[in-house]
Amino acid sequence: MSQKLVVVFGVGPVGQGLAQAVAASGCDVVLVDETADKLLESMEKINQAFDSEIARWGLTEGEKKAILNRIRTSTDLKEASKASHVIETIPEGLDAKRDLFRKLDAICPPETLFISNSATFPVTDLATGMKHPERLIGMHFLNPVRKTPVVEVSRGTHTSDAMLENAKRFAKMLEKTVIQVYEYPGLVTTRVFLPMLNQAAKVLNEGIAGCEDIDNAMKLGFGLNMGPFALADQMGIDALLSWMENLHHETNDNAFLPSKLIRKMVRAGLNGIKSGHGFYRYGTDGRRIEGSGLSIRDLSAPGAISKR
Amino acid sequence: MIILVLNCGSSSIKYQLFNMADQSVMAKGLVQRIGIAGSNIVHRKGDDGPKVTINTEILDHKDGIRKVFDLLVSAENGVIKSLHEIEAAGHRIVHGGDKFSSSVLVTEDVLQAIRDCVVFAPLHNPAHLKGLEAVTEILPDLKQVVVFDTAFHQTMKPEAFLYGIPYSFYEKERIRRYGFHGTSHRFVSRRVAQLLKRPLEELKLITIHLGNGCSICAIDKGKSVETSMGHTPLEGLIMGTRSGDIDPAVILHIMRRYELTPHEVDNLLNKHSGVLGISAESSDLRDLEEGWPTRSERANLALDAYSHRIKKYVGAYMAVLNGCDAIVWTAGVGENSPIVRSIVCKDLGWLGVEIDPVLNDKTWRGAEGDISTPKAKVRNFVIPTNEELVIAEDTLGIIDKL
Repeated sequence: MSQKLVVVFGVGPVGQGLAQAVAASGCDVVLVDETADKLLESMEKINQAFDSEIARWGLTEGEKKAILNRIRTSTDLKEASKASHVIETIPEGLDAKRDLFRKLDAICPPETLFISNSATFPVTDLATGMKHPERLIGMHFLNPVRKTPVVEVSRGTHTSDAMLENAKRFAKMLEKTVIQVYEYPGLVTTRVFLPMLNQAAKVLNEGIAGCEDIDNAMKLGFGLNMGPFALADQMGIDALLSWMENLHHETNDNAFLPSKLIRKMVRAGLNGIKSGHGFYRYGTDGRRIEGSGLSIRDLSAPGAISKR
Repeated sequence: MIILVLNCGSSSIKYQLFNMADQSVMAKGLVQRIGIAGSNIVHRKGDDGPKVTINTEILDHKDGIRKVFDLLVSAENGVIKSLHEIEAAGHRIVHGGDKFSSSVLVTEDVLQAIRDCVVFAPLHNPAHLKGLEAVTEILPDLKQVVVFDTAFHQTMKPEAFLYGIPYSFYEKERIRRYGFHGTSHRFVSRRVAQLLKRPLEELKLITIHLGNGCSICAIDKGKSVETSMGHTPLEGLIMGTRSGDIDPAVILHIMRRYELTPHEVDNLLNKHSGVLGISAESSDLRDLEEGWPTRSERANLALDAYSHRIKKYVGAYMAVLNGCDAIVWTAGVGENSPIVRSIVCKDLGWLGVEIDPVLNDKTWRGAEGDISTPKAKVRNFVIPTNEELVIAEDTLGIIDKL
């Protein structure tokens, strides 16, 4: 057993969220990405995320300072050689992920646990070419990581029992409930959510109901915290589109065939909260603007979007 | 007779080694950042020797306690030759539920009972258990005693400890008032009896512990009959960052209005409230008192609200006790804030409370004594608390009888 040091690869929302969650649990964390600019930008976002927690009384200034002290950034892959846990959250792409794990495999001692956050690529596929495939496990954290108390854990063909136990302890440290799933693209959450979003987008596109109304119907009708559109904006429409395409390819199930509206949105750069505009519009502070729900005319009127 | 006192937190361990022949502190220190990079031990010989910081990898509680033992016998920083000189260890335990009304020797049954109380103190009790298990593994023959923050208040009667909610919550979940700081209230109550030169068994006392957490206790004939903290240390007085008493409907209203999660509202009441919340300046009374009473309107308001709540409880507890021989001020603020003491005791003459401004002003920084005017019917004492010493004494008392 060694002291915990967690190295996170990738600075997307999940990478940032994991850095926050791990540091908040009392553990040191290194956030690694290719460029210093991206790292700087992600630290700024992490800072903002903590500030909005403070504004909601979820955190104190003192706690924020202590947590930020535990987060370091680096562009050097070798940081992982001292890690107890390595988490991969880089953009979806089988080759890039495999390549990263192979490189890490060569520099980390065999007891280092490798975690992939991917929900679309099976662990066994990702482990191809690793000398120690038994150490790789899938842990799919959901965005926002700090607030979502669940993680889907999937083991590959080679994953060892010891590493599975290690992953469960890690989940417990982060106060996440473990849902153990068989490795299959989409796991549970992504696989069940995507068809729902797809149908919701079709309902909107067909003019059956407005954006807010669909969200409210699902939210109030089924006791959900958020409607499908609000949730999709949070997850990123471009990411959702690529998951749909992956799952459609993998399962041949037309439920995953992306609705026209979603394709249109991504083409127009309406990628959700991160781009300030998705199914709703968002202020610079990331808060949703009241009454800003997407109407289908927004996408057909020329120049309607870029003017905002 | 040498006794080790331990207070194990989730990532820290406080320790003090006592020589009980003269109750002197042989060594003390703090293990920090257990299991986290950058861990260290801050150690000092005696009660106020120079601090030595030892930076070392500390994997878990067992590792931390082993390193404390190593330090205690080391050539450079040690104070004893062999670990066999330590007769026993006494552990501070936050919550003993309603299973413990006094300190006890550790047995397997006791450990299980402490585990059963984890639900009441989910942050503290698991850490205490780690400490107990670690000492057992390293020195299996060392006798260990546990001292509970809640034990002293187990003498409260149901009318004092029950909440006005369906009784089934008490029956099924043991939801009731437990009270905290018991070790401190007990210590100062015994001490004030000595200072009054009267037996504790004939005294009616109100003890006021004002530290990071604040609580007040009504003690009749040496027994706690009422205290301000409840099921958790959030009830009662206004504290540095904790709200103390609040209408529960306000909490529900705020939760709905701002769509707060239980975690957020928990933090709001525990970390953003109290004098920090009112003043919006500081949680530290020393800050708010600087320049008092001209510092700022809000600082004054925070101090006044803090003191008013104490006054309200003093009056209530005089009624509960049907009289009062002495009020005792203790812990950080209680021992060091003549301002709070003077605001609370102002206009309490009808109840027989009157403090001497000169004595009040000069009794602080570890000083002990009576700060009342000669004619005051109810005496006011300032008494520095010493919870570690109580733990050591309890430990000694129990192993002596074995």
